[in-house]
Amino acid sequence: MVFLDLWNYIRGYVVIKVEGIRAERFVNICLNREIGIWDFESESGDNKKHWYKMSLSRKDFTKRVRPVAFKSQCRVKVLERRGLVFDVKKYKKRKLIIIGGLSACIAFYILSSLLWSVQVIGPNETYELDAKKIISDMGIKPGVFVKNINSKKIADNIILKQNNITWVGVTIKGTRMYVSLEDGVRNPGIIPRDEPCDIIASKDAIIKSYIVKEGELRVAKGESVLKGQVLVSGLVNSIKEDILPRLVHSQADILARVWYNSTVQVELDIVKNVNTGRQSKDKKLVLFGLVLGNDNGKNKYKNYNVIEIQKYLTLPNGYEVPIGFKEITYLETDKISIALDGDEAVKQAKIKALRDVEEKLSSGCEIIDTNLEIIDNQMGGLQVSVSVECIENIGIKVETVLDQSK
Amino acid sequence: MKHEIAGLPAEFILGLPNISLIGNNKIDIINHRGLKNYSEKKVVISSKIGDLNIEGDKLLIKEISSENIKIEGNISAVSFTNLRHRSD
Repeated sequence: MVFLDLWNYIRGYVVIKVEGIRAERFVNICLNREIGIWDFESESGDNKKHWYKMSLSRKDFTKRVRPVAFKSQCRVKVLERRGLVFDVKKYKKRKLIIIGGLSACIAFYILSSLLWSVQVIGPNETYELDAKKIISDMGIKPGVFVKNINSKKIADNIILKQNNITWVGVTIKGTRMYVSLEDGVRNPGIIPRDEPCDIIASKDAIIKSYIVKEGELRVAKGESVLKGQVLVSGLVNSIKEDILPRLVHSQADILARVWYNSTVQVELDIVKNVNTGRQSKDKKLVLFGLVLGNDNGKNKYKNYNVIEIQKYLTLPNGYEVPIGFKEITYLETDKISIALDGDEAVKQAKIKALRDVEEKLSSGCEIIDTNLEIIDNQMGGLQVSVSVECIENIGIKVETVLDQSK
Repeated sequence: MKHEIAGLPAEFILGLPNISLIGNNKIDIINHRGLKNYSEKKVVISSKIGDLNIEGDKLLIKEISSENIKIEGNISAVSFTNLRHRSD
């Protein structure tokens, strides 16, 4: 029925009043002449006079109703004219409405094609701040046209300028830009086979065994080495003094003992914030990044947690419009101190410490020993310390830096 | 009375009114022969076999064309008067 109403509105229709002794005849003649009638009501006036109210299409009314009314001897009076044509006629005189509507549309279009916010999600805050600075240095700030943003260029620029970032994803959704960063250790560049290179220690360790295929060994078995120390040099000195040193591409497997540690504080008394179950909700309108309404409007709790959800209107094609609302939920909390059982706390701390250590381990290492230690500190608390001993290859190849003096 | 003539529904061939009532607030009449009387309380519709009276309250003719009539309102009774005698 909605479609029919809409169709009638577009075509335009007239609501008329039909009065007369033989008003039914008017209707029957209309039916015979195929004049469509709808919303046909029977009404009685103040003086108990009976009349009909009905709707006809604009076209039928202007061209075909007059002879019918004459034939049925009825009086026809127009009560209302409805439809698009009549509305357009009405608003044609009121120019300000048209100007207002048009300027609102234009303003909406322009404002929604601007960038409103840049959100950087990274592994830690320093990376995020650095990336934000790089982006703003490129001239990409809120207020720039979204069309002019080259997301590939931004990603390339961040990767080039930030050493620890290995992957950057830039997505633009409507008026917002999301930048996600992933960190990781970049692979050291592979040194060609015919270029001279050294082998250095990747971490502090104690040398256990070595197999040197090429190059000159600079450490001994059982020697402790520091990170970055040269293990095998690409500069091979000859026994005979009159022969100049030779540069080689070092190759060696250096196995060493490495320790990984982690210490976890055991807390016997924990103060926890527990939800009481009471909550209050507040909704605020967000227009172009501005939150309308006062802060803490509906919060009546002393201790509370806040959950904020911001939603934006999204068009079917995924385009986000900078108009939305913010739903704020205040959850009342209560401070509760929980005394933990000593053994249970130590057990939990052990698990945590082991997990910490496992994250630090490098791939391909062999665990040979695990030590657990519970330390009683003076403050009355406990500490669990885990130390894992591994054997792994610690050598990494770097280009030989020649000392000019030699 | 036969329900089918030459494989087609009888109301179609003979021009009998087809009345469908939905609950007590909507009635749809196909094959009518015009409106005889209409007020808020009673609608009289002429058909081939006689007059169809629809009684009720706040009756409104939602749509009317040469083929069908749709009436809405609180319908309390549907009856026939002035039935024409039929030989079959």
